[in-house]
Amino acid sequence: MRLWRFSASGFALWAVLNGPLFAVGYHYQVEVTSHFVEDSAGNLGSLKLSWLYDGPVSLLLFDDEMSRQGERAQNLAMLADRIMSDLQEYSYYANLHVDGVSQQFATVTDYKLGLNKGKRLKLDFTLPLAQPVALAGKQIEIKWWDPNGTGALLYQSANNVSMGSVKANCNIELENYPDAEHGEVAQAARFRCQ
Amino acid sequence: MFQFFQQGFWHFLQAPSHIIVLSGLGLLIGQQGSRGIHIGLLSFTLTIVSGLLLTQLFTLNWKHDVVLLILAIAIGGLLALRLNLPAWSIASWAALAGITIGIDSAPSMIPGMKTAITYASLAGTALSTCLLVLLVTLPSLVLRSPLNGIILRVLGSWVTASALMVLVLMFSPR
Repeated sequence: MRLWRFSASGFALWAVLNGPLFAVGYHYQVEVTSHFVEDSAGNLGSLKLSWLYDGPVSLLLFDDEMSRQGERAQNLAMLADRIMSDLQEYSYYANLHVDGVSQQFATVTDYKLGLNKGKRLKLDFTLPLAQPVALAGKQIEIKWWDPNGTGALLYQSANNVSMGSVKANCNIELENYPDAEHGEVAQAARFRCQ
Repeated sequence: MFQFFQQGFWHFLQAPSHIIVLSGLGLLIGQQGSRGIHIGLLSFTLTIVSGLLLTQLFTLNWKHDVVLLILAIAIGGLLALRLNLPAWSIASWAALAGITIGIDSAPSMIPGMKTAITYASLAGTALSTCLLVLLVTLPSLVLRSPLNGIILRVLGSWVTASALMVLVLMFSPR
């Protein structure tokens, strides 16, 4: 009887302390850096991306302590395969519009996952467009959006967006949506190239 | 992994519609007596587990909250009317609540996350929803007889009113 009361009290205490903590769901943040890659004709062919995951989700996805010496690279490669396979289902969270026309992406084949010095996961990959598109004189808008509302992918500043040879002719601006809720777009990067 | 089990356990707190339906269902099956509890709990447990597993097969883009709130209105109405429901009716209402809540309780999706973590979250959700229905059922069993079960009938009208209020708030402009 005493054990039952102790267990019930413990459960009630755990419930009161933890309930509010988990009532909002799990969320994480990714710092995005992107470089627009043009082909020889000056058309946008792909985006070179670097995603830096926050600390807690990095630990959740890859516990470096659990990796034995020599297996770390293999485990990171396996995790990278899973991540890219899952991301493909959501079009890599990318929403790219050129003059209001939505662009489609091809399957990512070039990717690498590593851990930085702060034990944060860093995913580098090249996101190819299904069809190259000319940028000159066009309005380009890119938004990163997780429809599940779990991840928030954001550029820290306009310096995290680079263009290549046409950069000198492009005006880049970031618009943040502070009232965006989970599952909604929180930021848009727009630029027009001459 | 335990973090995601907890995440799943408290998932019902993220949606008022879940709390209203679970509470209403628990009160309704308790009102039906011990027979209703056995049938209702069994039906609910089987369908909530099925619904949760279905979230791994597909995603439905439908207004889960609206469906759940309409279900809560119906359950609250049955509670207020204090009808002696046949076994198939108890099982059906519990199954409807279970499958709808299950499908609406997909765990947080992080690309690359191991399947085991996903299933830990689903297990937490299944456990908490069944526990919540059971915990509400017990006092309902006690309250079904005194004063012609008026307390439960009043609670039934509150369930309906709460569901209607949440439904109206959902459609009101921000």
